[in-house]
Amino acid sequence: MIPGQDLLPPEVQDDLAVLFCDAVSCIAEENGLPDEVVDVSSNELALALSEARKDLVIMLTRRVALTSKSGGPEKFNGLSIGKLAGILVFRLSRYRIVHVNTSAIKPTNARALKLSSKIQELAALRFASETILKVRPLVWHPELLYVLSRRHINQEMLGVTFDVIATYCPNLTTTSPLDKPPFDKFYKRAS
Amino acid sequence: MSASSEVHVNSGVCTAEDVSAIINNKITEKPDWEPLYQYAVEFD
Repeated sequence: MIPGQDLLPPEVQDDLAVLFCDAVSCIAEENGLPDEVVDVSSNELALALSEARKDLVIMLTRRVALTSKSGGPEKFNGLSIGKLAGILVFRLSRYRIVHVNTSAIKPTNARALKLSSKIQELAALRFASETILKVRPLVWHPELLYVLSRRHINQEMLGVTFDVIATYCPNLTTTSPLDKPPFDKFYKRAS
Repeated sequence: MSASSEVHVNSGVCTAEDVSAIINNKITEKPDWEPLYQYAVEFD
């Protein structure tokens, strides 16, 4: 482990950008929002991912330094998927990434109008749940959606929350099993 | 139950290759997000 290692180089940021846009598209499609009313700012998305990269470099550097005080940097075992998801969800919900032209939605379509105001936070949660944590939507999602869209939370608290969720919530099925190498080192269930 | 031993706050993700492996391991089922959408339309 090298302090300050880059976990999100440009090519990984590009992959994450595509996956976030996929989440936005799925939510729009499932809620009857036509493609032409939803716009994703590639510039804001790139800024959010660039900032997430910096957050991860800082967190990694700090944790390697802390571990060094209690046994040496070789004792550091990497960041958790919860911390990774927490930083990404925070940044993907804070930049002005997703824009919905609500003037193109019929005033009688209350569902589409209300959902439009939270589509970016919905996409961030869906992205984290499906792409990183591999957990199905459960009772904790509404609370997180509200806090994320209308109250306050930072990337570290999101990280702790996602750590607990990743440890205790049932996993979605995946192409490669999460309880076998190399994924078992990321997805550790409570014993 | 000990939170420090049961919740894995430091584990696994060390390199960009780890992140790529995680995001490229696609889910093979389609979760139902409708309950969260329903909740989203209940508040302003």
